Amino acid sequence: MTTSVAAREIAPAKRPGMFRTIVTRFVRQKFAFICFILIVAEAVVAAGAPFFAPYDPLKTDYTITWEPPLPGHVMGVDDLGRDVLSRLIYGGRISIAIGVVSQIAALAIGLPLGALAGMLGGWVDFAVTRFIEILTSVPTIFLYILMMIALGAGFQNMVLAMAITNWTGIARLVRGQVLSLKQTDYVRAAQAMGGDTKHIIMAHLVRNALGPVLVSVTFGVPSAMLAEAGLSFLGLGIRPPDTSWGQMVGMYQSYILTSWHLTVFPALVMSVTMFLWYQFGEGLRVALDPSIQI
Amino acid sequence: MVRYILGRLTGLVGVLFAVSLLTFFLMHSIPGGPYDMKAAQMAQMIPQDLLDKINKLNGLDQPVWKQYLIFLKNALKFDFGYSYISSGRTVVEIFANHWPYSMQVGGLTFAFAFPIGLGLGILSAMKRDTLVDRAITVLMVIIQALPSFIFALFLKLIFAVQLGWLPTQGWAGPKTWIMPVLANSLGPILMLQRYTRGAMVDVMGSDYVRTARAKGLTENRVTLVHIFKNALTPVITIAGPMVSNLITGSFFVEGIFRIPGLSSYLGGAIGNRDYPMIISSTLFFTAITTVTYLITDLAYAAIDPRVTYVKAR
Amino acid sequence: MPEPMLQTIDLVKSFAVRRGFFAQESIRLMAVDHVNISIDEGETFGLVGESGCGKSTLGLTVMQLYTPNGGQVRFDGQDLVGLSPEDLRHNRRRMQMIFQDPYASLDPRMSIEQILLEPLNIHGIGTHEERLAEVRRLLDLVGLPTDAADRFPSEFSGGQQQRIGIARALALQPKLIICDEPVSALDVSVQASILNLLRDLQDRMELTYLFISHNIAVTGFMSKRIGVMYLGRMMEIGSSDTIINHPSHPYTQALISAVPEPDPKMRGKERTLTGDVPSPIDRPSGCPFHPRCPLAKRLDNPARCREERPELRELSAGHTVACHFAEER
Repeated sequence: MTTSVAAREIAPAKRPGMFRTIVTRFVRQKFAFICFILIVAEAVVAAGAPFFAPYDPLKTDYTITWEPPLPGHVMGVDDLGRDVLSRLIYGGRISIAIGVVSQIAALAIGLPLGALAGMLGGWVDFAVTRFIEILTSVPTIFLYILMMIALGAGFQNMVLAMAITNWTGIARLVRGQVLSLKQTDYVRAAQAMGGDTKHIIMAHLVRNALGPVLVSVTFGVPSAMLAEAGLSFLGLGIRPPDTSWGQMVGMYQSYILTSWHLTVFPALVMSVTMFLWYQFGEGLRVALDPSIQI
Repeated sequence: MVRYILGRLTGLVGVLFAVSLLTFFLMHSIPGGPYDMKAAQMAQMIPQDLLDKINKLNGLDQPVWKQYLIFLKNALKFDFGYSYISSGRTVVEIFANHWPYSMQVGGLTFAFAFPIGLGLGILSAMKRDTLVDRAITVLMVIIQALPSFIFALFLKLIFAVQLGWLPTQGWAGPKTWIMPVLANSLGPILMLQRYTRGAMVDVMGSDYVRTARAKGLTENRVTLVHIFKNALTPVITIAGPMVSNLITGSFFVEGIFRIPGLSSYLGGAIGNRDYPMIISSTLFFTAITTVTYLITDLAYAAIDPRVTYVKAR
Repeated sequence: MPEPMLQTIDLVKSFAVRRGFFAQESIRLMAVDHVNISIDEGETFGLVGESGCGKSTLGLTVMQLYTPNGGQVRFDGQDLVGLSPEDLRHNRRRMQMIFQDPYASLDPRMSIEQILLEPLNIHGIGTHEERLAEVRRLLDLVGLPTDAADRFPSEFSGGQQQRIGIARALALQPKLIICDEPVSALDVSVQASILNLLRDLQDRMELTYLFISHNIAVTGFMSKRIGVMYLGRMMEIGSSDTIINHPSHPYTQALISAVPEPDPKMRGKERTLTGDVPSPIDRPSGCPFHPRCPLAKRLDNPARCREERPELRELSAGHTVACHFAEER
């Protein structure tokens, strides 16, 4: 082999890494990129709630109860005279956190279990797939309900309930990826070159399964937000004085005949946020799929 | 084939057993019994000896595993015990009274959503990449971000509260059906449209459709005989997830429109830890979903000659 | 006489096949049934047979990607069966593989540079700069422009993808390459250029090939010697000339006659095979070919064909046939 000096001369400029390529491909999809920026902006506002919220979300003002939007309270006030906008900003903290944290937790369970089942096969695979089969045969809403009754309401328990319910999807996905990857000629080629299991996981499994898993997790976030709302709606979710978007919709909807603004604003914020996440996920899916030219 | 069905039924029993176990122990892992809760809610003290008596009557003084065995034994005789909160009514009675309403909501929703979802899917596949397709896609993206209970609230606000065209709640006659059915339809429509479009597009690009065209068949005949037949067969595979979706959807829709169905009844049961109701309905809906999956698989095998569940010799 | 580069001795590979719903009974499928082949250094040995005859399984078993159920795989004088992973890894450097579907054999999410670096990284060959230089040399060797390095497999044609696969196989400077149907997924117009490239590389790098193909014409062009496989067994082994022009086994004769004859005057005497290849699970007793064998039919289905499994026996020097009645043709 030639000296390294000569080698360096003919070596070209370094090609962009995998991460850079994905980012470029994502940014090229303008709409999805805008959605992503809005998601970040929303998260920043929620995180900095004390700074951005015009009022204390718990401060009551009995002189203006039930008021629809008015100057100083752009989204109106609720039955106790609390500012709806401020409550929404604070509620966003919990809603967004539940969406994101629950999916990361689900990933933490589903990824290793799915990968182990796919790679080891045998009784491990049998046990994991049977367990998934049992969990998925129960309609999701019942799993949530059972779990929330057993665990009790509150943020942490809700995250736990969602992680326990949602890991099956990721585990299935990863297992399928591992199984199909095992059969590919490029993994065979890697084995023929002398690559061991560790090499195949690092070089091929991570590279190929990362995309679908990331997309699945992203799509899971709005679903988890929806589930949070559903459970809060049933009184199994976030307990006052804490608040979340779902809880606001659930609590305020009984006043819909008299005070429309209490339902409409939280419902809109939730829907729009879910929309943003779905679009972000779709953009990510396209960016991570090398067969789609953009 | 018989062996396959038997195998699947065995699996179904196994799943139900596992789910009953899971549900039962989850429900009994909570500190405090159902009557503590009720007493607290009524803000009145039930004398301890009376509480003991009630607990004994319901078998709540036994160890959990014994309670489970009793439950299992009774369940096999189709006896799911008494509902704790509605005095004197058995779980089976409550199901018999309320389940028909939920069935009606589900049935009407399906009857409404099926042609629309299918139609939109076919339309967007046939007009692929045109304005029509894009408009439908945008509509579906909006639907995706619109949970059924939020849509139900918006409908109620506009058509019942603001315009006063429709009654705000109840389940008595076509006028009261419109909003619940519409709200509950979003999920199934979305699912059907996506799946139908995908399946159609796949089939339209296949070699046999190209061959059919090359043979000189008229476009209508190609569409009818080759595209529909092959694209719509796989659509039945989403029946399982769809039933699951309808059950979930009706939970909220029944609550919002005060429909006396099983789901809205369950809402009350949940808050009051009505174990027999919760456990029974979990098992009931699990059974429904699982059976749907089984029937779907069998129907699919009956229709699609490529699927066989019995290995050829 | 020097040791052959590759030799299989009574190599067996079978799979458990589940049958029936409850899967209680499992049946052994004999994919490779006591196969003996031997390839000298620098030689190309062609392996032909219909799809499902076990020729690809043989290739994968030789590579130790399948664990053999019996027999030996002697590579450069050493038996690979039962080697420790470390020793196997060492030996694998010197035997590589080219796959049938070039696209499927390249990780779609790796750039060409990453693909060609992979074998060098696994074995820690050279510094990073040296590896990059080697990638460029490999691309040049297989006739691809060096700027291909930055692109992804999907941006190339089938022929170019196969060139990448070949370059990757060459990266470790192997002595033996197993070519598993390397051109059958390619357009006919591209096939010739890939075959020529393989021959050219063989001359330049003193490579030994095990060339697996269902196409007897392509195999004849590539190989010095050819083995014919049917339902996991070797039916006939001989020089390319013998196998193609003077085949002795009725199965080989049928395979040859199925090749389209370019000269119209020579047409009309094709003997086509009738019936389907039996399932390897329910392999016929005796000679696996006897239910379809035109020779057996002509001889009024002798009982020996049904009852006794014919072993390979030498007809002439370097020409062996597994047929009881090979002399009858």
